[in-house]
Amino acid sequence: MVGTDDSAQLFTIEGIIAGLIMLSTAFIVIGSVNIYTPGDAHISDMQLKQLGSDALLMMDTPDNYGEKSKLRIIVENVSAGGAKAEWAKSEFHTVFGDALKTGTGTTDIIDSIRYNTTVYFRDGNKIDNYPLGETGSEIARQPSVSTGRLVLVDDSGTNKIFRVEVRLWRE
Amino acid sequence: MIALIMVLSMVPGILAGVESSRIDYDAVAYRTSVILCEDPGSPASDDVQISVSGKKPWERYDLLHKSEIERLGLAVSSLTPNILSKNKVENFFNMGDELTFDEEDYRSLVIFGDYPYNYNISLKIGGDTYMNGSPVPDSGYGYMRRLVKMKEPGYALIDSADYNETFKSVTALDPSVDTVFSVPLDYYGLQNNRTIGEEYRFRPESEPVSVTLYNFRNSLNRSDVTSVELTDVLLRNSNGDEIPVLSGDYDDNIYRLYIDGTQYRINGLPPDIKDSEEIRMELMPDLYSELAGAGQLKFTLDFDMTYTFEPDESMNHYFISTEDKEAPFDYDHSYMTRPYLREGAMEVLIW
Repeated sequence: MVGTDDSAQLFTIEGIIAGLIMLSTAFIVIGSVNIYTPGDAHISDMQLKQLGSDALLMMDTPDNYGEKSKLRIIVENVSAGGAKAEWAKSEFHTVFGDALKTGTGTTDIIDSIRYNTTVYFRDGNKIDNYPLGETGSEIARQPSVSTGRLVLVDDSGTNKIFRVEVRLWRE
Repeated sequence: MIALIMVLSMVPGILAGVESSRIDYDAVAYRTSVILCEDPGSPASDDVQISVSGKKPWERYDLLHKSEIERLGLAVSSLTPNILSKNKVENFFNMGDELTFDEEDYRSLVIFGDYPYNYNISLKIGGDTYMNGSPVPDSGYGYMRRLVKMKEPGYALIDSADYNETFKSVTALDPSVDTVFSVPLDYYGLQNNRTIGEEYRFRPESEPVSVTLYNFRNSLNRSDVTSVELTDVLLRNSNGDEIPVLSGDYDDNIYRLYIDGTQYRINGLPPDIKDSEEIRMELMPDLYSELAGAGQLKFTLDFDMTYTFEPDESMNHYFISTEDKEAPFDYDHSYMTRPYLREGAMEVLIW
């Protein structure tokens, strides 16, 4: 039954090699696409997030021992409500905005960072929030990142924790 | 065929390596900024190793021992991210007396990595700017900006008029008064006061302890003063015995004594200081190790003085003394300035 013609063997080998070539092509294509710069956006996000959390950390660090930090004063005024909360709004913009613009003079700092801030706190049994307002348009090409800081206010016997959350993006 | 596939599959890896170099710069800049702002370096004074081995923190090393430094970090301690130590900052930016760093040191102790990166590291605290590295290119660098505060050491600034005394009378036979202005210091208590965060604490192990007597000339009723001699400046323990750490070979890292801004050694004090305005004594961090070695971390800093007067008994003769009123170096006196923080920013550029 077995013929002298061995062309079927050749077809089989050719088929296997064709398969290998297709597989290796796919491997090369996927391999090369995967490696391209996915971390790029990540790192600029991280720079923005780090700057935001640095700014909150520095605002929450008083210059002298025993003083209240700027951030704590702002949060206490938010807690007091009314005109004091309005003052907290403008104070936060002044201090936080200045911090974002602070540099050493080595590079020109382009004031392109916009942010939106909210203070979250417990009010009875529910979580309430007070917006400290936003700067600029919410529409931007770049993704926004979020950072925050917990601030403990321990006056008048009752401890209360506030979360100051800032969403930052580049315009 | 298989060899061909393997070669082909390696090629994009090479291309990708070239493409991602920009990202590496940003990552290196970030890593460098974290080491500088959040790490106290190694060895550091909050290191457990240090108390065991007796090593000094890196900012107190001299050029001879520079090779023993493992990492340059500027934070006050590992618990205080973004709070920088002034002493470390000055040494890092080559403004200290003992240490100098070159490009190779910065690459191997802060930036790390095999590739010889170019760098520019700058720090601005208030109006003071610190910088080192190469001029910055227009583009193509990795960048990181950090917001920081720098800790300024506290000090004592004592008005001599507050310690004027007049309880001794003089006679023609003995027209002089020996007096001591004594400042009690508890180095161990200050250094290890855990109720105060390290960013606000007096830390004599890593910062100078400075005591200034000002308004000296005007606090005297000068018409009756013939001369005032500062006979000695010394440390005494609780028994009143001298701790002989200031009197040996002069070393800038042990103490610095200034009278009206001019630096003096204790064995070469001026004969008459009645016209002086200000006496400033800075006890430097190396003294801490000396005292710790001697087991004498609680002591008084004494200014021994001899006043000579016109022997007129109708006059009140004024001199300064701490006999009736103490002047300890601690947190709770109006003449003390506690350590405080100043705001600033750091920029790290790598390319």
